[in-house]
Amino acid sequence: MARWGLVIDLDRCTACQACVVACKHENNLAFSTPAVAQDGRLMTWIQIVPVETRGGAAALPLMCQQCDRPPCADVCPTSATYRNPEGIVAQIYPRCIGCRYCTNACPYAVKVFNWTAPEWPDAMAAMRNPDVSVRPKGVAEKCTFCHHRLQAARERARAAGRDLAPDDYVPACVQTCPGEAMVFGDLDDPHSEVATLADSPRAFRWMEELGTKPKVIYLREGE
Amino acid sequence: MDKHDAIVTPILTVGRQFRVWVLALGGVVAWAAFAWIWQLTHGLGATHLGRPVYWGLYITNFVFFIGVSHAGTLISAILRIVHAEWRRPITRMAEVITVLVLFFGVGNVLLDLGRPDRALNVLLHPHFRSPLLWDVSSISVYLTCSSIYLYLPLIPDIAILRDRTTGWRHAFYARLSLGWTGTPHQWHRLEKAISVMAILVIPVAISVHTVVSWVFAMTIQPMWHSSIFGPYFVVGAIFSGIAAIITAMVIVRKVYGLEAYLQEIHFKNLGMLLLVMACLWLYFTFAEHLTTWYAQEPQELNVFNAKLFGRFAPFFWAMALFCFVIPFTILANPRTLTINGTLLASISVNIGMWLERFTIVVPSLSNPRAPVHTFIYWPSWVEWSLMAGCFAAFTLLYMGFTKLFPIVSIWELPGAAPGHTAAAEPMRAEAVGPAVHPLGGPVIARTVLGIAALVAVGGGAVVAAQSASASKEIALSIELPDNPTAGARLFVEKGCVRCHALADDQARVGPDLGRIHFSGTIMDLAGAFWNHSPVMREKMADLKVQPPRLTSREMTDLVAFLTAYRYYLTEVGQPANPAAGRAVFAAKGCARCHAPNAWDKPGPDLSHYRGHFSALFVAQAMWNHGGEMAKVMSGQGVPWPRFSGGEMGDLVAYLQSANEGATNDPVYFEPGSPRRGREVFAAKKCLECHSIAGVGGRGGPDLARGREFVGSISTIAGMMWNHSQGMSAELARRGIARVTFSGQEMADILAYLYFVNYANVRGVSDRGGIVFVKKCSTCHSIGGGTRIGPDLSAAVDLDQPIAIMAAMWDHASAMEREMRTRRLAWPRLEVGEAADLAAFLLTRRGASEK
Repeated sequence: MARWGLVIDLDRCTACQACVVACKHENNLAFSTPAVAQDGRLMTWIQIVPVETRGGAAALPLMCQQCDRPPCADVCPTSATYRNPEGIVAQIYPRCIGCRYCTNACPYAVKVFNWTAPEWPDAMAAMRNPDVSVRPKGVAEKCTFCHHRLQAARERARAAGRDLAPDDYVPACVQTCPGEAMVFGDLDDPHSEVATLADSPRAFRWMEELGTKPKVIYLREGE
Repeated sequence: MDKHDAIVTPILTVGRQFRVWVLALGGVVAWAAFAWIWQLTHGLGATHLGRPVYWGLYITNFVFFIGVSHAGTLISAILRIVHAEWRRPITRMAEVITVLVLFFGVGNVLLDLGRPDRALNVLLHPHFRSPLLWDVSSISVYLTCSSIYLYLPLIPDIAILRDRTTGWRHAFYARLSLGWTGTPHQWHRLEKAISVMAILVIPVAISVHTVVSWVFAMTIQPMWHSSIFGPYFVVGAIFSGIAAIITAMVIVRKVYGLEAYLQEIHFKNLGMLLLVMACLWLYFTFAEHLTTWYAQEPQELNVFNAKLFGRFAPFFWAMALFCFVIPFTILANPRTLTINGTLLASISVNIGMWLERFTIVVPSLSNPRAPVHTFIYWPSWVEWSLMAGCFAAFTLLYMGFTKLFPIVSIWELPGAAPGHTAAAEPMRAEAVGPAVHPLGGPVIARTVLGIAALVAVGGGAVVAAQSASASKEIALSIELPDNPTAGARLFVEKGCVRCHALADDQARVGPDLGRIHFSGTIMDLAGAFWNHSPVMREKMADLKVQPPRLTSREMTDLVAFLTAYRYYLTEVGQPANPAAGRAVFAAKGCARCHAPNAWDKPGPDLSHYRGHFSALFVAQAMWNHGGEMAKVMSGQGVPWPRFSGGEMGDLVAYLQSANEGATNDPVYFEPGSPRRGREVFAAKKCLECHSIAGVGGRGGPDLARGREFVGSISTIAGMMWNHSQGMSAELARRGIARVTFSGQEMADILAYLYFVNYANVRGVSDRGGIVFVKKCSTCHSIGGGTRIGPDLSAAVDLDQPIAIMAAMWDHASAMEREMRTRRLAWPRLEVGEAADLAAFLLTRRGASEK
């Protein structure tokens, strides 16, 4: 079984936010305005956040860390959020009761909640991705490593009668990044690029001292 | 029950003030309903929550309400188990708070859900690793247990209301009372069930708020992830629970005028408990914050600083003021530890505890580890409205409860005044059926040994006076009283008259001893005394009356008096019918010989007897003249009339009324001396033909007939009249001259016959032994050394049945105390058991002395 992970090279990241836009577009995130964001209701699955590093402030693309020990899955009373066998912390939107315990349990604050029914301007509404469900008001959501792309890729590969190739499945943010700062793949595959990069001396996982075992690995900026 | 009108009347009436409040609170609830619909339509966006402050007012209220729900458990269950009697008027109020407020605790979670329509998913797809699910389980169990714990003690009160209402109310209460009739069996089961629930509900309650705290503590968020949360929340819950009770008590007391039931002392005691909890709360809060501050862990320090010095400082310091400073100042000073003082303190505590919940939930969320955008959270109108609606709805439901059920538990009230020893539940004399012993090993062993000893000893120790039956029945020697009315003086001196009337019209606390037709033996009377002892002592303690002590002599006189009192009653209580007597006078042919102014009749004119003459006099006269009368009547061929039932009484009444100068005053006369009567009975040779319980001569009937002689003197006189023909013939045959009686002699003989049943008591030692083992041997032995109570072979003066009863009466208070601490039920003596017990004690003591 694959164990999907993501490596982000902070040296290459320019904080251009193309990943943010691509994710929003790919995953039918609701339309948010600055006013909404001011109220803490920005709907985004990925953000660039400023962090302190040795070299000064850095920009960290922050999305669901797909923890191997996810605090959010521990506390969900209905198992609406759970870690699937391939390491992706998945969501069952129809089951979520909106208690927001998972959003509070996540130390990375990467889970968001649909405070209202999502809305889009007409022009944007036509551009929604048919592969991804539109979440109703009252449920929690977060980055899923574009799981729908994995399912589509598997079907394609099966139709073609072959195994899943490394390039078949990449999340939208990885695909879009102009700086090629993101590398995605199977951490358990010793030959994959992510596995190699994960062992890099520059590699660190954020807040890993909390024991969450995140599968998003950052490569710190070099000297 | 009239004395508890203050509790019952509010249920049956609805005043103007009540209606006004219902309307006002109803308005608030209606507005809250509107706000809720708004929230359901617009989503939780109607609140001011957002990332990272995902929880706010609703969860604060959830924790707060669940905390308040610990009111009922503490007061009701814990204080019941430690036998703190002062809790009695408070328990119902507290239990209602618990049950109702739990709904609002759970309700706030439902308000907080993004998808309340999917709430059942928690049951359909449970994830037991989630503390929220522990919450669901724990609170469900707690709600169930608390509801049962509220309902069970409510049943007897519902039955009281059922019996006092009509219409839909009656039907309602009849349904809910589950057929309660207050039999000893039912009481026993109820008390047992309540005790079980009281013990069960405590760990459940502790688990509830511990589990609520773990919702926060099981996350890794700064200042949430703290091991102190479990006990901290429980302490806080009990703290706010007591405060809620005090507030509710003050309001209920004022509104329903229950000053007699909810007294200063209740508020004092609760106030002191509140003070203790305030200190405990301070300790926990201090420990929590000192630990956080000392370690200086950066993320935790962020939250810490925000709470104490930053944005949340006003809330935090207000919390300290309301939770500790104000309550401590009020409650630690005895001068301010009053009803108003505790009210102020409790309101302060509730405000403070709400702030405490708020400063636990929001600051940690507002200062997340991750550097995401944060904002200042302040609840929206929807959140405030729903909060107001919860408080209003809770108050409304509470008010509704007070209109349906007594808010003070009526049946638990004896002993409502704290500080005195009321009988605890197992001691209620009427409440418990046959004695219930905890059947442990020692008791079973003793029972077996006791019976074996009985069998061994019984044969040699029986004092056989005369016994017709094969069982070891002995006649108990009861002294015949000389002057039964001596006990009348004692009845007043010892204070019995304070509670017991003697055929009086004025109702008093205890039963009217003149109206009770007691037809058993003196030992059965003593047994009835015994059975009533706990109830009597409860009432005496209520009225602050010292139970009187009785010497053996005094007990004899008192019991004789009460027995003799029947004598008065059967004359006074059942006045005869003069009109019927006139018919008797004619029908029996008395007019043939006795007529007014009939100088040619053989018998005297009965109208000559002026004044009030008693039936005794009639009996004496008829007896004395009986011989002559018989001669004349047989000479004239007049059949000897026989009297049955009340005919003699009616006749006497007619004769009295037909007399010149008769008034309608009831006639009193003193009974004679039974002891002298026994001598007369022998002196006049009655013993030649009549035996008393087998002792005496043969030829005439045995006169120890219990039931027949419990009638009026007139009836007895009638019976003697009926027998006089036969007696005359037999007397003539034996050559015994017919005797006459003086008035006093007649009185004495009749008194003796009256008391013959009193003194003729037989007890079976074997049966008494079984009674002793079952009911007494837990504490007493005979010759086996002191157990809990004294060794009865060593006790002095237990040589007569009356002495035994006097000793038991005097020791009853001490016995009750012991039995209460050991949670033993007061044993009841059934009919005949007292005599058997006395027989057993006497024979065993005789045996062990040898």
